[in-house]
Order: sequence, then C-alpha cells, then structure tokens
Amino acid sequence: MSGLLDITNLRIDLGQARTPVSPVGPLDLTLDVGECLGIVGESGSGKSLTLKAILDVLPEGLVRGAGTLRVMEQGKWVEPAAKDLRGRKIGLISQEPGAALDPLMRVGDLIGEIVRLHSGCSRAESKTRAIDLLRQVGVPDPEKRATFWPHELSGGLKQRIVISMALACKSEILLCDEPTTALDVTIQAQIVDLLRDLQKQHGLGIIFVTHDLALIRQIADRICIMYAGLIVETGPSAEIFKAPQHPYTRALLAALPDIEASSGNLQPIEGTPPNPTDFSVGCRFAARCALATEACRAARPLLEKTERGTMVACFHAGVAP
Amino acid sequence: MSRAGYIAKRLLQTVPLMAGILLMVLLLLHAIPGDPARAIGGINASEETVQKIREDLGLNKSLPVQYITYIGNALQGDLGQSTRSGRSVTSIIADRLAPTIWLLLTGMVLSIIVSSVVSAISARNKDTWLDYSFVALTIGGISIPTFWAGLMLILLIALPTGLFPISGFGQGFSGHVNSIVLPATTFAIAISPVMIRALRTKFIALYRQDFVMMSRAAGLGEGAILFRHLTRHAALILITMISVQVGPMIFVSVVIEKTFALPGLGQALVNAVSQRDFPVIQGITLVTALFVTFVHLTGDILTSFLNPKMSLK
Repeated sequence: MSGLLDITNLRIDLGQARTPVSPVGPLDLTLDVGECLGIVGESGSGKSLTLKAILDVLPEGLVRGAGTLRVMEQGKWVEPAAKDLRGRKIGLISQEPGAALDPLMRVGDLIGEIVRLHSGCSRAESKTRAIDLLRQVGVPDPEKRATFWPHELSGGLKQRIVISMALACKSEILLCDEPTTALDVTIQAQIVDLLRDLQKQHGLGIIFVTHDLALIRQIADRICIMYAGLIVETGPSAEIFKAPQHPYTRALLAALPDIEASSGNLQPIEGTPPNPTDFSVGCRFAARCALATEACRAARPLLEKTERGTMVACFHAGVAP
Repeated sequence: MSRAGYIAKRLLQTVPLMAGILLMVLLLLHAIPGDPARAIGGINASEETVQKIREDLGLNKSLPVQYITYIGNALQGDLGQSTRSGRSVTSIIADRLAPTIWLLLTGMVLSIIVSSVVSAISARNKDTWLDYSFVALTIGGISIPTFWAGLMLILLIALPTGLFPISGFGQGFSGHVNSIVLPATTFAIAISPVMIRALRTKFIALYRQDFVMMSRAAGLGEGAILFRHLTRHAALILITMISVQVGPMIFVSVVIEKTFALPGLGQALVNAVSQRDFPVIQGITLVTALFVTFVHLTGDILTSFLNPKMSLK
C-alpha cells in the first residue's frame, strides 16, 4: 500500500492555560491510499479534536501545539500548511449535518460556492457541477433539491450534501467525525454504504471517528483505540477485535452487546476518564484498570509492537484480567 | 403563501392599525383633563372664544362623528389648523419634515455601518485589548446623555475647525449634508452602542457555529465566511434591532434637533406642546406613528427575503 497521510507527534494544547495542558497527544497517525482508519474512543477521548487538528479548525481556545503533517503529492512527501489542504486534499464531514450547513443559503449555492472557490469556474458552470455532485452522492432529483434550503431536507439528505461539499474538489482524504451518530439506523446504513462506494470509486483514504464499535468493525481496515487523548492500541481491525491486548480495549469490547452471547449482562467500565488538567505522569487508564500496579502509575507505557502485528501501550499487555 | 401574498397581507394589516392610530391621536385631545377647548384657549379666554374653538375643532359633535370626520380629512391631507399661527398642520409638517428625515436616515445608516464594522472586529478579536476598548467605548456611548454628546461635538469639532455649522439645516444639498454630519454622528453615538453589543454577541455565537468550522474546513477564507455567510445572519439581527429601537431613535432625534437647532418635526413638536397647539401635536404624532409602522413593515418584508425559515403566513 502506498502512503497518503503521515502525522507524527501531533499534540493539541489548551491555548491560554498558564501551565501547558494538552488534551490530546502526542500521537502518530498514518493513512494509506484507499484505506479506512477507524478511531474509537469514549466521549472526550479527543478523537474529534484529532480530526479537527488535521485541518487546523479546532474550536476556540485550542491550538495545534506540535506535530508534523505530511501528505503524498505526486509520489513525494510534502508538508503543506493546513489551509492549503482544506477542501483540496482533505475534506471533513461532521457529526451534525443540520448544523454544518449555513441555514440562510440554498444547498445548490452552498456546494457551488465551494466548487467555484477551488476550480475558479463560472457561476453557471458551478451550478451544473453542484447538481452532478448531488447526483454522485445519491440525492434524488438533484436539479430540484439544489434549490432547497437546508431546513427543507431530512438529516440523511443533509449529510449527503455535506459529503458532496467535502468531495467538491476531488479530495483524496475524507475525515468523518461521527458522520452517522445523528442519523437513525436505516439512514446510517445508507450513509455508510455511500462512503464505501465513494471510497472504492475514488480510492479515498478515510479516517472514521466513532464510538460505535459495531460500525467500525464493518468498515475499518485499521483501528486506533484512543483513551484520554492518547492512542492505547492500534492495528488491523480483525486482529484487534479477535484478540485485544490493552485492558481498555478489552473493557470496551466487553461493554459491547453481543447477540450470540448467552449471558445478557454487559460489563460497564467503572469510573470516568480523567480530565486533561488531571493527567498523571503514569498510564492514564491506571485509575480504572484492574491490572494497574505501581509501575503503571509511575511511568507512561509507550506503544510497542506485539507479535500479532498490532501496537499496544500497556505494561501488562495481553495479560488476562 | 407566496411572498407577494405575504407582502400584500402585511400591507392590508396596516389599515386597521392606521385606524387605531388615528383614534388614539383623536383621543389625545380628550386626554387633557377638563374641557379641551378651554385648555387650548387658556384660563383667560372669553366664553365666546372657547365656544369658537369648540366649533373649529368639531368638539361639539359626538365622538364617532369627530372620528369619521378626522379620518376623512386626514385622507385628504387635511389635519386641521394650528391654533396659534392658523397655518394648516399639513404645511407645517411639510416644512419641517426634511431635516427630520435627513437626520433619521443618515443617523440610521451611520449607526448600521459603525455597529456592523465595530462588532465584527470586536468579535474576531474577542478578549484582546482592541475588543475591550470597543466594549469600554460602547459603555461610554450608552452612558452619556445625547444632548451632552451633541454639545461636545459642537465644542470640540464644530467650533475649533469651523468645518460644520453649529445650528440650522444649511442651504441646498451640500449645505444640508454639511449641517447633518454632527447631528448624525450624535445619533450614532446614542444608538449604535446597543446595536454593537447585540451584534458582537451574535457574531461571537456565529463564529462558534459548526457551519463556520465546516466552511473553513472546506477551504473558504475568513473574508468569504464573514461577507458571504455571516453578514446575512447579522442583517437579520440588525433589522430586528432597528424595528425595536425606532421609538428611542425618534426620541433621540427630538433631542438632537433641539441641540443643533435643526428646524425639524421634533422642534415643532416641542414648541407645539409648550404652546398647547393640539392640532399640530396630533399631526406630528400621526406622522411619527406612520413612520414607526413603515419601519416595522419594511423590516418584516426584508426579513421574509433573508430568512427562509420565516413562515409566510
């Protein structure tokens, strides 16, 4: 596989804090052409922030404190500024399609605006291109839908509009920030199918952030498990689901309802993730971990290769609890 | 309902509103304690004079008859005669209308420009010294009395530089422009602080919206986001603010006319009140009410163009 995106040492800092607080990182991510990378974690684990940091569209107060971001451009690794990637190389799809579209503009004009921005074509031409894009993302009757206001469309259609905007200028990487969370299950499946089709057609690399393990199992080639701003386990999806090594990953999978399991009891993970201001020098999961020892509290375990081809950040990796 | 239908309906709705306003204006005369004719004539007036006033104003007829007569006359442009000068109220208003309209329009335009620019800059530079100094300035603007702001402009700008007249409305178009600069500035000092505060809050909230983040992620620049997207949202708030503030605006313009000796409706109103010239008071009240109605109507129609979510019912 050929590389597409390579992020090293990414860290997100809280801007104004006197003592440096880093809710996310440092962490490394890579993405290959045509690959789907899943990032899984609880709310607040920093998975959405990681996506936003890639395009440098972090919410107010947060900044990309460190990290290099390289993309493959005609066979060479280059390190462009985030604003040169936005909408050209990398597109973003957000969680809430209702909030992602300017309510005071018709959807055709919203797409047309992005098309014009990147291709510099005429207004009339951008209109036809917008309708083409709508057709590509499976919006029925695109000529008519282009004249609709965002509030006149269903959640699923709005998400298709957002996807078409992310693709407007032939992005090679699609960052999906829980794109199906706000949609009901049948629509979820449609959107996931659409993303998969687009991935195949255009050879897109996709980074898919979600807390839905069942969904990520279906679509991701590789998975990163995030906890409290760090990647604790990563590797091929099948391996991780077959034999999770990190206690947190095991706990997550144990909290997943299994239709075939005889016992109907789910095992919740006791406690809550730590606040970024309370991050300890040791393993951030130690407080909730049954295996935690003095060593875990004294120093942070780093990601290390296992014989299964995955990477785990745990001193007790693979030990059954 | 189509937009044309909505506009037609809003226009029709102003008809009963106008009838109500005319009734209130007529009742103004009866709101004075005791006999209005006696009140107008004064304590020393003879019984014949009072009787004559009563007949001139139609006060000897029943209230419904007075009302219908008043509407009928008003529709023909006849709002009665001044009890002091004997001139027709319509001609007094016609003479005095121009400076007031000039003041209100230039003042509003200036307030809109100042508040849009300042609030956008403030919101983009939130929590910096620039933002804080704008906030301090708006608090100052809200706190100082309008007449004082006007006097200060006269003292600190008009007198030392000699660029602007300190009173009157000037001759010809350039004279009007020249003499309206300081009054309009005073108007903006009085009106824009509230608009700046509301707009700044709105802009800050808008910049936190998902669609702004998504527009950035799609590659749109800050200029395009501000001018193509956020200005529409801000315009909606501005229209609402102007509709709500049109009352205070008229009050402010009366004070400004007095401060700069602009021969406008406000001055005529103040004079009429001090002279108990009721037909003139009624006429100016009517014109003011018409203006307020017009501003609200225009605001609603503009909003229907800008906000697709507004139900056109």
